[in-house]
Amino acid sequence: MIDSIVRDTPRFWSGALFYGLAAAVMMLPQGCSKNSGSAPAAVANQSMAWRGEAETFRLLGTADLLRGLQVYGTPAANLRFAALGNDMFPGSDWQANWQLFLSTSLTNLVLADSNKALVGYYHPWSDVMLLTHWRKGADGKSQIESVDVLPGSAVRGDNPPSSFNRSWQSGETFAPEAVARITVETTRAFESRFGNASSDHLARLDEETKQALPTIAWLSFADFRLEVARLFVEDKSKPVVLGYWNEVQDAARSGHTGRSGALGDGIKAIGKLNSKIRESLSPVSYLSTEKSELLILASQVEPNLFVVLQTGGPGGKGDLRRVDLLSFQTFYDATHKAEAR
Amino acid sequence: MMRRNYIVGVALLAASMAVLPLAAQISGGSASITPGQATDNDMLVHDVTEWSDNLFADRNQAIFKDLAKQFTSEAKSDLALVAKLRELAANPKMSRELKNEGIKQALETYKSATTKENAAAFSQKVAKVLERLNFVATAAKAAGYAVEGDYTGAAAAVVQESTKNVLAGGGAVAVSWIPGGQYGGAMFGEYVHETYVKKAIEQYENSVRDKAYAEKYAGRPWLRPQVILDRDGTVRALPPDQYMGKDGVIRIREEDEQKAYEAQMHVNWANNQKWQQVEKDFAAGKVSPSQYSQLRAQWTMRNRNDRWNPLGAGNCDDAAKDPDVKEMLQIAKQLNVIAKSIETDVQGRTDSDAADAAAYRSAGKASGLMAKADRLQVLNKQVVAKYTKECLQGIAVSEGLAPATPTPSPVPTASNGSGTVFNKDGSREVMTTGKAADGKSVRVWTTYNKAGRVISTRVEQ
Repeated sequence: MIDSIVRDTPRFWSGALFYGLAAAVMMLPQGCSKNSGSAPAAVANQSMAWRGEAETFRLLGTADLLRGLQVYGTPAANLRFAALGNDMFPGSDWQANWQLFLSTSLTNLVLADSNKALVGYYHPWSDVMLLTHWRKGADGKSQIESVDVLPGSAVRGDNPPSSFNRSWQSGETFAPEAVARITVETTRAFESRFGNASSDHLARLDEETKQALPTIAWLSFADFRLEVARLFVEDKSKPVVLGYWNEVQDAARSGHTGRSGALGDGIKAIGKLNSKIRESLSPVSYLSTEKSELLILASQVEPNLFVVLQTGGPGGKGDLRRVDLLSFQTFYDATHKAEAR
Repeated sequence: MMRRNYIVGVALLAASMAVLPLAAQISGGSASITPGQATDNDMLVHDVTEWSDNLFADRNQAIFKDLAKQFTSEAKSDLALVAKLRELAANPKMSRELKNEGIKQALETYKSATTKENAAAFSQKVAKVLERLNFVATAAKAAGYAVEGDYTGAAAAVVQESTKNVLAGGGAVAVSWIPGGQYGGAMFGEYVHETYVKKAIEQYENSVRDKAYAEKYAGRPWLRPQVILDRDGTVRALPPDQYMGKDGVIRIREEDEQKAYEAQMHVNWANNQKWQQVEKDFAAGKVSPSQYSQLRAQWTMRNRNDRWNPLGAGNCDDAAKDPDVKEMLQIAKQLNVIAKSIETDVQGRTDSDAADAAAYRSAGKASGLMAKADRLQVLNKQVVAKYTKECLQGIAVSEGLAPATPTPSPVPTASNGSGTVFNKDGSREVMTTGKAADGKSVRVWTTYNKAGRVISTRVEQ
């Protein structure tokens, strides 16, 4: 069984990417905002230390899952990753799928004390959370002890989960806004429902439901993959929005755009990003109707950032209508501010 | 008379077209340096770009195939299965037995489930899950307003404010995801790297490359061991002459296999080093954005089995020696001579018969000229794919196919935004305008030498 789940690292995940990602993290302050203030006080913060370890695992795991597990996984957790992978990606490359998952997941943290922490890697685009239990070993090393996977609906308290649709795609809200809202909602539910050490966050679920969670998560993740895979299929009628994305990339790199107004501003904003973050933007959603195409790309270096391109301007479906650079954090902060008023 | 003029016109047009590929490059001023870009790339490493190339650009279709193979082969069977499941789920009238039967049938054609045992187990799980789902909700899928719509008022304000902040260049956008965090994400990235990533890399390197390994393969950094998950859950590195196939069996390479493997690893490593150099040159302003775009295209379209020669960056010397370029130059010169000859034949003829005779002679020459022009066009396609405009411009100038100051270029001023000054020594200075980090307008002067290479840049307030 294990033989069959131990695979070659997929070719497109360059081994050297490991170091590229590491260096990319180091570069983050340069291209985009750089907040003033000193780090030392914050560095001392315990939760920030856990967050640092957890984010490092995400980066390593994105480049090469086994490297991440080599550094942070206990043998039991490593085997659980493989077993869950088999449940969620049956017969498929479990390592590549976890890498894909981690590459645009947001690192959430609760229950952080000197010895342990609970980290939820939430993948907004499939509405799935990978739950990892961390503990400090006798040697002081932070390690992942156990792993679970939950559909986002289960994190939000939907008992039992009622749909395998990704929640942000089920309503009548503009998709980029919907995904931001659902992500904020899920994060806050994680903070409140999983942030209490004395309660079993899955206690309300019966055993059968618990057993079904990876399969429900698979349905969502498979749906996500299908949606994005369309962009990579050889097809003469390629989505027009991909051509616009090329234009935006070229303009952002060169610093020159012929677009003005809101479109020009959106492109310029992307141009302000650190080049490593910009180059790591990868498709996470592609939706299309008769009138419009919508392409969303998230940064693999900083999954908090995503770019929205929408066609369907005055010229029709082939006319670029919108280019926006968004961050989940902005929506999260705005929600807090609104509540504080 | 009209026919004569037509023939002469065609001949001259052909001549001008033939010289165009090189001469057209002469109208300089294409280079631009965006202020701040150099500092933005201080710590460039090649890998993220290589990685991202696999995913994004439409023109990198060839590279997409890697991903397409990986995901679309599975996606097709996933698609069929999920579609079937949706259909089953959306039918509340269907009995449980029928649903289970439908799921089993769907799973039989599901290629991702490798074995019957897997398929059966998966089938049961999916059946149980479907029992629990809200079928009406399950049937729903994003459409209409979710795709075509717009932000609601509050979200629109958030988006607008965010964009405004980014463009203002100050507090900008929250880079990292730190819900409830006390300080900006940018600081967090630095903190993560300095505190954890470096340490994790060291730890990993130490574990996969023990002393014996390091001694045996000293000086061959391209040999990276394959890392596997063992039966007991430990992650370990295989010796460099071993590998695990997709069947999970560890094999040892034969001597000749190992040799070929090491050679390929060396090629990969060397190519990555070259790309790294290109990015460093770009960061230092030695490579213009247009050159960089060309090089990126070359890089992503390269033959991964061979050494990559980043033509166009630092290889202007090679361009001058390239047989294709030499042949182009030769043809261009011949065409110039023929075009001049046609012009001489026709000009000044007042006698109608003599003019007609000259026109027919010209027609014969034009016919040969068109053939050469066709060849030149073919060569041009190959050459422009390999070398930058700047290189070809420099060569054309040095071969006398274009004057050093061919095009009256507007004198660059702050008001006209850009322009080129041609110097007597063949070098030229290109001015572009931009904004500095503080938002003030600046002029950026880039000096190219005769060969088209960037030799200096300076920024004026």
